[in-house]
Amino acid sequence: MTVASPSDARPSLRLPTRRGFDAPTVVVHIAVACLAMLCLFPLLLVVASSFTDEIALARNGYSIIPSQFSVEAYVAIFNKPTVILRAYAVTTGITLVGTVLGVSMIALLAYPLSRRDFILRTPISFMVFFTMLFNGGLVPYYILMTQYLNVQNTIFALLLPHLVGAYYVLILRTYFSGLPDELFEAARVDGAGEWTIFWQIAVPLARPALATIALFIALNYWNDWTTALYFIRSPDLYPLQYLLYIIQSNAQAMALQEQVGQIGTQKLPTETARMAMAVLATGPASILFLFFQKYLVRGVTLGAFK
Amino acid sequence: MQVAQTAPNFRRPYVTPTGWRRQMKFHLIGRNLVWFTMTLPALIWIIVFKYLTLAGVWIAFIDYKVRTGLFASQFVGLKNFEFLFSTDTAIRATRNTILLNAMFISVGLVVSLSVAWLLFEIYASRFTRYYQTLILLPRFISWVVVSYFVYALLAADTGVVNSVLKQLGIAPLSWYRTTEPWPFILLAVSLWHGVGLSSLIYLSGMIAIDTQLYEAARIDGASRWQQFRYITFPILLPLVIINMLLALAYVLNADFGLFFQVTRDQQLLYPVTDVLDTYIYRSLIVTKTISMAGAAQFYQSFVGFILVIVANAVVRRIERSRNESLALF
Amino acid sequence: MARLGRRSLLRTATQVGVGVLAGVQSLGTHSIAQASSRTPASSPVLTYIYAGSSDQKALPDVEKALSALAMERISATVKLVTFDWGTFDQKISLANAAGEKHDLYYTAPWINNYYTNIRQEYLLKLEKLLPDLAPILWGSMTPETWDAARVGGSIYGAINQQIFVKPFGPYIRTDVAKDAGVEDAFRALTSYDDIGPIMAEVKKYIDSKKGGFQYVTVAANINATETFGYDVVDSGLVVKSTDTAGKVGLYSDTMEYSRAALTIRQWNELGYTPSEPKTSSEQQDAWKAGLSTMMMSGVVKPGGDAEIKARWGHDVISVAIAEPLLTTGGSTATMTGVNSLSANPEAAVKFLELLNSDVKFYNTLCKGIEGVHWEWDDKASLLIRPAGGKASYADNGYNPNTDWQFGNVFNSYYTAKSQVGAWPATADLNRNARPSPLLGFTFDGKAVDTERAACAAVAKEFGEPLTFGIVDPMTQIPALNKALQEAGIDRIRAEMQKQIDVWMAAKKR
Repeated sequence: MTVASPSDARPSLRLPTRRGFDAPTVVVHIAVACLAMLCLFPLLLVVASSFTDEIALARNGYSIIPSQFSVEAYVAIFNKPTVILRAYAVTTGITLVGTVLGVSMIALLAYPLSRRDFILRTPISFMVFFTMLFNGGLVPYYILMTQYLNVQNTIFALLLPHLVGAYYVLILRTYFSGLPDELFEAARVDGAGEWTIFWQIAVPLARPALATIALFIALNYWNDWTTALYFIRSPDLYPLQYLLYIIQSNAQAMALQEQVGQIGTQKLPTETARMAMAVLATGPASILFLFFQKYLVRGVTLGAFK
Repeated sequence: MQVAQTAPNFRRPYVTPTGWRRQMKFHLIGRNLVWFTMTLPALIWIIVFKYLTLAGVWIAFIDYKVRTGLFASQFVGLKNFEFLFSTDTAIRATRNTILLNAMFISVGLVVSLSVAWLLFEIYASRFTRYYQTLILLPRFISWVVVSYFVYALLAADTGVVNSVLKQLGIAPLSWYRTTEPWPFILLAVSLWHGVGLSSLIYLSGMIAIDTQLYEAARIDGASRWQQFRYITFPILLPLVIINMLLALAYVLNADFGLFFQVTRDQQLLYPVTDVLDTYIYRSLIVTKTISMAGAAQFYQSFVGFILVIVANAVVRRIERSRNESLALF
Repeated sequence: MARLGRRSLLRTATQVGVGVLAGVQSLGTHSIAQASSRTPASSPVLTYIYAGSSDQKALPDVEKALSALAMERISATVKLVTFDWGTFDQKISLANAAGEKHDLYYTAPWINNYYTNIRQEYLLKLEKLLPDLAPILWGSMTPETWDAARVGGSIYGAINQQIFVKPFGPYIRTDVAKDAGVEDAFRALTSYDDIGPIMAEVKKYIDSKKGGFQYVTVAANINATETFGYDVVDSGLVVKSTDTAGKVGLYSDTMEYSRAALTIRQWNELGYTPSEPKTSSEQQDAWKAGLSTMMMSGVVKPGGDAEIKARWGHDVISVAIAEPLLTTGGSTATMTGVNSLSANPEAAVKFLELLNSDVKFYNTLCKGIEGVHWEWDDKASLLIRPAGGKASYADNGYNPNTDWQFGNVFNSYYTAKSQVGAWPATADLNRNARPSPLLGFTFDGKAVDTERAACAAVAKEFGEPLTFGIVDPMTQIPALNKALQEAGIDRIRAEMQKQIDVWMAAKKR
């Protein structure tokens, strides 16, 4: 019969029973394991390159096992760690604040939109979702940020643009709609005001969906490199991914200079140093996100996307 | 019912009004006010960041010159669009976007379903969590880092792929200079990045299916493939259709990070990798023809708009036939 | 996962986030928008945008020193804004497109394209302002040189004087030249035909595994048009520098091109170059990592060896092979433009004059503050060294090393002993160079834009393998030319000839 399986922990879901190690199952395991390895391989490649000696890399090329082990790239970075540390501070700051703020704003918007009694439900829904379709473009966005909001080269330029995503409002609205009305009515009968109902009933029940969109918003902030490209000029405010982009495009720009016969002397990081930066920028974050991904799985499984 | 018992600190008991007050639904006004206040922060944000910038749509219809700006530049009607479609580059960009997206969507669907099904088969195993974690991992990596390791793979002299080819005795390729393999390279990278989440969505759909159906099928002697074909797929169909329709509605939109970072903006590859989003970017930054960029952007949004409306209408029709709630709006 | 757990997680996250943000908030105050808001008519703030590395820590001090000087001379203060090289193009394009009111910025044909900026009306016309408000700058170059920057009769950028001519030639690492015994032969080179035996010697040296080199050279491109006395106008169409009638020809059709391609092919077959073409950054990495012994085609200028040593750390010997030719492209390689939307155009032009004529002002921007970042080594010969006995200028926190981006490099102090005397020598080189018959002519390619784009793509696809010597020129060159024909090169040629004839006729009048 059924062996003890994860299905016992979640009574509302029924999962396929474990059939034991019959041939097809082993094949499936191998296939999926290969797939998982394939997903991991490129990242291992980057890690391996970061631990390779620079000259050996230029001679022997990239490989999954360093042709000559060396930590010089990391030593070089940790000798002058301020650059990457500051980038970490900036990125962590905007991710934390942005996610908390963004999720709150989205939840506050999605909840009323899910209430059938809300008079403005249709017009506001339309307003929100229309923005998914039409886009004003980069130039007015740039003008808005720099000339009207005047947030150029400040932390707010990195924070403001990703706060509200119409797609997440949609997900959350759907989720809130799915909550049984009786709960709310009962609370109202007991004398709860709308704010109370929101904070103490709706939000806790929507935890999976909230966690899911929180993860996505955090990811948006963490991986964003274009906003800094447009609005940040001071290196004190460079976020991580933008830093990675810059060290790569600087190298290409230097090459361009040489072709025209001009020579500058920026000390460019070597290829291995760039790889090391990539590892440092992505590694800790990936590990952290991996911890939180179980909320994503739970959120999706419980119908955040339905 | 449990909730009401564990939340004791509500205000005075609420009594549903009777009489004319009730008929006027006054009790709803207070509620609506609160709800409206709730929406304000996000609403203001949307108005500022999305609606104010909509003024930029006007750029598509003027000859934007910086001195005269948005409001005083000369109105040229549809001339920008005429010029846009007369250039090979814009047409090529459109063609690339549609073809590549179509490929991503179709292959992506097959791969995501397959991976979801495989995971579903072994879902009870304790290894599945680890597999799932690893498959989701690429989704969290930024395109900049992706471009780094694609380079590590495809670099002409030092890349892994060429090293392997050399050892096998096959002539190595100058990857960043040859256009033919790139649709497939981009497909592979796009799959690598996206399969985690898409398969997860389909997997969650599969989990919700009643296992008794599978039990019955197994008793009747159905093979795994037959189980998939006659149980899983039909039940999953609405989810698949919605995803497909949504993807199709955004067929003119490409992921800028993928096409800009991974290709390292190599000019030689443009015939195959230049999509509308990179074309718009170049119109702004390289050729600095703002009006062209505006026209291309408007065209992208407008076609997308039509497609989403159509897609939504189709989904509504499916809804009606299946009696479920599926549509976007 | 209790309700309490989530709330306290939320609280902690918010606190940490806000704490980090508060710490970072104080940073980042360089706002361009500020400049335009602080302009009382009496003392304007001139915002100058240029490309540079973002790790010049002493920039605020330099800015203050410059403002003080500028206040004395032109009653204006200065604000320096640096964009990273890698994103300079993007940021300045956006700033221009959004109509920002900075005053001066760097422009060139190869970055922040000068001609595109003119077409989009981002640059101010200077031909009337320069003679009035910047007489020294205006007089420092001949009218023919200034003509090189003219488009449609107007000048839109102040040329930064530096080496205009491109005397291309090979470089070889000194240590290799000595060890392989080719030093004398190298110094006696006059043409690329003679370099074969030297490369063979070097190859023997490499094969003997001494020094760990892999290639004689990573890039064998000797096909630059100036090498053979051709002025390239656009799309591979050239005019021979001795041809005063200005007849346009196709470079890939010429004898010289074929011979050079065959030579490169020979070198490739002999194993002097990599079997796979390398991108420019790969080439740089290889050179830096010490895998390559020579560079085939660099600009050989007085003092150039010192620059290479400063940049890469290798001592080199260089020999100029190409005859110096003064071309439009060479003269306009680096310029400073005034924003057409600038609120203070006159002050901006006065700033240009100050930058190009006041030696102290210029060198403060280029090298830093005397005594803090640099000090005199030999004042008589204008030689300086890093202040405080440091090993390099970068150790003192300010070393942009882009004198050519700011202004007249001939005003710059020498930073290394071997460089002393370079400027007068270079100025002579410029002066004595044969001017191309097309000096001052710019091709307006708008009518043939599609063909130009097509030909550029063909040139890259067919031409690149030739410059790396990985295909047989005997079949590839005809293929290249045929593809160019199909892409419409003749239409471009006809249009170009037409414009040249008109321009020449106008010149004669």
